Amino acid sequence: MTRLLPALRILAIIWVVITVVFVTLRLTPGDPAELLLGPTAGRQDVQERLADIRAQYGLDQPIPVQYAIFVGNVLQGDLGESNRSARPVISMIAAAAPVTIWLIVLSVGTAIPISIFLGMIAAARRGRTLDRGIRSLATLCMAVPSFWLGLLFLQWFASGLGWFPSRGYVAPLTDPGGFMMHMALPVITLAIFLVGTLTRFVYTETADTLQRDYITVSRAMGLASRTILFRFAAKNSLTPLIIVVGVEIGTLIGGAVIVEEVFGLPGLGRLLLGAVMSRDYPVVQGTILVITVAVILINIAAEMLYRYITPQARS
Amino acid sequence: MNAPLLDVRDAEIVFTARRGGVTRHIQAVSGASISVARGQTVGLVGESGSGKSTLGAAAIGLQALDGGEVLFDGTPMPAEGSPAWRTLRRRVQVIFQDPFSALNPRQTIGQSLAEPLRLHSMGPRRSWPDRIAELLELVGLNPEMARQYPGTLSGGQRQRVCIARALAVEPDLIVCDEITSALDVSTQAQIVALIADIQKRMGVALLFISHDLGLVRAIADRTAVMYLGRIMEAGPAGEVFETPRHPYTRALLGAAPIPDPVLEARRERIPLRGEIPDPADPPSGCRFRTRCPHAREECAKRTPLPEPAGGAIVACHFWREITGTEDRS
Ligand SMILES: Nc1ncnc2c1ncn2[C@@H]1O[C@H](COP(=O)(O)OP(=O)(O)OP(=O)(O)O)[C@@H](O)[C@H]1O
Ligand code: SF4
Ligand SMILES: [Mg+2]
Repeated sequence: MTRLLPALRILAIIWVVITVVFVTLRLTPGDPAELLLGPTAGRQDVQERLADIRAQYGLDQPIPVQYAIFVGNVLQGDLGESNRSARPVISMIAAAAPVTIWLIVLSVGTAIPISIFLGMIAAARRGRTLDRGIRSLATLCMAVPSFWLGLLFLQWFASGLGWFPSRGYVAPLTDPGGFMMHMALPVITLAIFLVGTLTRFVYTETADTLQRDYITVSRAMGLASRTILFRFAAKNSLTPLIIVVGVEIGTLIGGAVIVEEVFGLPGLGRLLLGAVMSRDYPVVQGTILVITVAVILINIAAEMLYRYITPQARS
Repeated sequence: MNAPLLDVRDAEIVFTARRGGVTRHIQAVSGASISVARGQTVGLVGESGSGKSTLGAAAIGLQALDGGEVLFDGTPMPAEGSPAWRTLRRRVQVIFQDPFSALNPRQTIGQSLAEPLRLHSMGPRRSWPDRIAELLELVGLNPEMARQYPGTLSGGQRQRVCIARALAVEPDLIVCDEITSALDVSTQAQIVALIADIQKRMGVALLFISHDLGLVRAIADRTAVMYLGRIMEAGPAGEVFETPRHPYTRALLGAAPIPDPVLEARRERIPLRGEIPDPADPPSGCRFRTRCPHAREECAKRTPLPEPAGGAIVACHFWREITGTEDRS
C-alpha cells in the first residue's frame, strides 16, 4: 500500500494536469475549425465545411463526450492526431523533443559548473567585494527576462556582428558545427537565467556549511582552508544541487518555450505555442501530458540520485 | 623551562564590521593576558559578548591578533602552513558548544575520528579502527557507534564524540568553548565529570570557557574573569570565587547562585545593573565603570592596569577600599 501510494499520487497529478488543460482549452475563445479554414470561415457557404471539419475531429460531440474519448485514448497510449496536419501527435512530439532536450541539457551543463565556481568563490570571500559582486550578478541574471535577453543577443551577435545564425536549427548528427552555432545563443540565454538561481543556491549552502563548527575544528586540526572548501563544503553543498536542478526543471521548460520561440528552434515549446495559437487541441494536450510526465520523472530521478549519494539521508 | 604552556600577552583583536553602510570597529579583545600551565585547567568566565571565544580562538592560532602575542611553549605562533604550524595543530585542539554543528553530518563517527589520525599520521592506517574503538570507550561510548552517522546520536553522545576527536591526537591543550551550554542539565554534569576525569588521567591542559560560574568553580584550577575585552580579575579559582576583589567579579557572583550554602548565606547581593556596552564604542578608562556601583571620576580618566592582589591580579583602581568596606559591612 505504502509503495503504491506515490504511484497513485503521480497518476492523480497527471490526471489533474491534463483535465485542467482540456477544460482551459475549451473555455478559451477561438474555434479550431474556423481557425483552420482561415479568413473565409465567416461566410455562409462554408458552414457545411466547418461542420465537416468538426465531425472529422470529433469537435461536434458534447464536451463531456470529447473528454471521455480523450481520456480513453490516452489510457490506450493514443494521443490522437493534429487538427491541422493530421499527423499523429506522438510523432510530432518525437520530432520536437530532441531539440528541447538538447537545449536543456546543454544549458544545465553550462550553468552548473559556472554556478558552482561563482557560488563557492562568493561564499569563501563572504562579505568582501568579490562576494557582493557575484551575488549582484546572480540577482541580475535571475531578474533579466529571457525573451528580452534572447532578442538582445540576436540583435548583437546574429544580426549585428553576424557571428551566429539568427534563427533555426540543424540536427547534431547532420551537421555538428552548425548545430553548435545554432544552439550557442539559445543555450547561453537559458543558462544565464539558470546561473542566477543556482549560484545563489550554491552560495547559501556553502556559506552555511563554512559556518559550521566542524569546519573550524578541521582548520584547528590542520586542514588547509582550500582543502576544507573543496572536500567538505563542496560535497555538502553540491549534493542538494541535484534536487534543485530537479525542481527547477519545470521552470526551465517554461524558459525553453520562450527561448525556442525567440530563436525559432523547432522544439516542444514552439510546438506547444503554435498549437495553442491555432487551437490544435490534441497537440496541446499531448505535449503538456508528455512534459508533465517528464518533469515528474526527472524529479523522481533527482530524488533517487540524491538519496543514493547521501548515505545519512537513507537512514 | 618554567614557561607556561600557553601565554597570551596583551592580546588585541579588533573586528571590522559593516552594518547598514556604517563601518564599526569592534574591540573584541583589548590588552588581555592569560596563561595556562601544563596540565592545568583555567576557567574563563564573563558575560556574553565579553570576548571569551575570540580570546580562546586566538590562543590556538585560529584568530589573528591585532596586537600582543601568543606564546605556545615559549614560542610565538608559527606562520599558517609552516611545518611548526602543522605540529602545533596536533598539540592544541578545540571543542565547541554546539555538538550538532561540530560533526560533519555526511561522515560516520568513525570517519570523523579518523580525520585527526590521518592529518597527523598517528600510526599506520590499519591501527586506526582499534584506536577509534579505544577513543569511543574512553569517552563512555559503544565502539559500535563508529559506523553511525551523527544524525542518530543525542547531543550528549555527540559531545562525547567531539571530546574523543580532540583527544585522538593526544594534545597538550584543549580549548573548551562552552562545551556544556547546549546540553540539558543532567547531561551537562556528565560531560563535565568526563572532561575533568580525562583531564586528570591524561594531564592535558584545558582552557575552559563558560558563563556557568558553578561549573568553572568545580573544574578550574585558575580562573580569569573577562569583561568587554579585558581581563578584570584572574587568580586561583578558590581565591577568585571565595574572596572576589573586582566589583565585576563580585557582581557576577552576586547574580549567580552559589552551590555552597555557607558562601551563599555570607555573600552580598549586588545586582548587575544594565546592559553590557557596545564593544565598538567602549567606555573610556575602566570598561566596567558604566555598571560599577563604585565608579568615580577617576575611573573614566585612567584605565586600571592589572595589579597583584593576594594570590590573584585585579584591574580596579579601588579594589582595596572596596573589599575593605564591603567585607566589613
Ligand atoms: N567574526 C566577527 N566579526 C565581527 N564581530 C565579531 C566576530 N566575532 C565576534 N565578534 C564580536 O566580538 C565580541 C566578542 O565576541 P565573543 O564571541 O568572543 O564573545 P563571547 O564572550 O564568547 O560571548 P558568548 O558568551 O556569547 O559566546 C562580540 O561583540 C561579538 O559580536
Ligand atoms: S576601576 Fe572604577 S569603575 Fe572600574 S571596577 Fe574599579 S571602581 Fe569600578
Ligand atoms: Mg563565545
